[in-house]
Amino acid sequence: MEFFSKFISPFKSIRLNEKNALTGYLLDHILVGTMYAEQQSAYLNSYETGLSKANISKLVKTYWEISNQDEAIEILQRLHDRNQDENLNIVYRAFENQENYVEILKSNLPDEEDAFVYYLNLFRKLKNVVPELKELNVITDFFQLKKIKDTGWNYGRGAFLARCCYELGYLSQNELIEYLAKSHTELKKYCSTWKEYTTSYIFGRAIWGGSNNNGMIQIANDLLNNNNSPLRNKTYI
Amino acid sequence: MQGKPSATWFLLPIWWEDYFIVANRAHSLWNFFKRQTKKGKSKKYLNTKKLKQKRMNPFFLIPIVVVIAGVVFMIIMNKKLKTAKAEINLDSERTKYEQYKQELLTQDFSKVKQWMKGGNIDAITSASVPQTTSNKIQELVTDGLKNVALSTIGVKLKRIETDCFWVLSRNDLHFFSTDTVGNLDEHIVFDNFRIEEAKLQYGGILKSQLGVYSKSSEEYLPITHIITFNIDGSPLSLEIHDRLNYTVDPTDMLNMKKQLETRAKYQIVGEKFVSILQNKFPNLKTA
Repeated sequence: MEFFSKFISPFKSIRLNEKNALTGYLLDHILVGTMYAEQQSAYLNSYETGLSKANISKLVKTYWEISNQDEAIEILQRLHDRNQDENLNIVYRAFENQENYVEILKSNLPDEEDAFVYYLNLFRKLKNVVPELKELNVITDFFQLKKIKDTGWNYGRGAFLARCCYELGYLSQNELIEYLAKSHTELKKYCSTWKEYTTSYIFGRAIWGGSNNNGMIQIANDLLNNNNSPLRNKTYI
Repeated sequence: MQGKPSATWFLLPIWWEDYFIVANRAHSLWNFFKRQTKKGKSKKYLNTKKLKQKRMNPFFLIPIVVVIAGVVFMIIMNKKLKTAKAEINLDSERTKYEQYKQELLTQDFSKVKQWMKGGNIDAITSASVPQTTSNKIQELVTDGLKNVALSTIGVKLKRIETDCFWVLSRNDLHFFSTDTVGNLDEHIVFDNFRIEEAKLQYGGILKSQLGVYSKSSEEYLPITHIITFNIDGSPLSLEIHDRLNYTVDPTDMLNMKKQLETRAKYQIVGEKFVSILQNKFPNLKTA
């Protein structure tokens, strides 16, 4: 059955849980993970993902290398901490000032070689990703990304991963509720609208994975425009 | 320009051979035509023809005339070439580097300016992808693209025979490759940090893939430097020419002066590239 569900699920757009659907602010909180959830063909409106145990296990253990509660908390916390990285602002500033990028990066980034190379590679990725996102009409100007950064990608993955960890028993329901609420509050500092959230998610994924973002763009459009989507009638986060 | 024999002299035997073949073929055709018409003509007419056949066939005169005309043409062209060369003083022309660079960027190489999308152009020259680099990229592709970073750049450098350009723009080196009709194929940017880690070495005269070129045309072949970048641990070598690649415009075929003046401009602009690059990046200074 699992074999067939893998083929069928990509064609099933917008999965909603009709038995245990969340409403109100709890729904808003869970929607932070909506891009990742839709990517995995999971329920968008409940704590339960609606995915098989085997699928969740594979995602959490193989892709995220989480096999216990401690590892889950560590990874989920890291996804929140990434957004407070001040060095990202330096990389963005260097990207905007092509004439002085060398000076900006050399004088402001950490001297440690590994750290410097990490941010230098981010800078290089920006140079590839930003023109591509403009070409795909995801953004019209880099200015849009300066504010939202890749927070949608970080908080979004964290929110859905937390649901998976909850289903595997690594988080209690209270911990999940608390984590989702925090994700929602933090995300609002960067993204005002759900449209900004999806843009930020696409940007973060492009930085991570490079080209071929048409699938993500389609998911974002579906979430924002499909009549069944919980985001359809929500503009602001 | 140094005085060397004209590169067109070596074409003479080829022309002679071609005309000889054409003349022979024309003569055979003429005989065939005669044999065909012979059948339908009267004896009287044939007798008159036999008399005519004893005369020398005029087609054999064509190669001789052509050779003489060719020799005269070569002498005139060679004289023109020598005069034109004598009129160009490369040392004084070199003082006009900035003027020539701007001139070429607005006329002959305006496409490069377009590709830079308004970016600064401190220096420009021609480039090429060495056969060894192309082979290495081919190996990477065959091996399933082991080095992701190199393969990302490498797959863009699959062409080795089309026009390529280098542009130094502030802290970055831009490599442009073109397709078979001269349109932009790939644009690769090597940033300041990659150039700071790169190495430069003398590469000698650029030879064609088969390594065959006329000795007399050697002075027109570019001298190369090879710049080797470290792409996440793997070396990637590319060639920098000491001049912009010049192809004679068919309309200027007989205008030796214009050809030499254009060649001089292309050389003056291109030869400065390496020194400007080395001044900006002292790590690229060669011994």
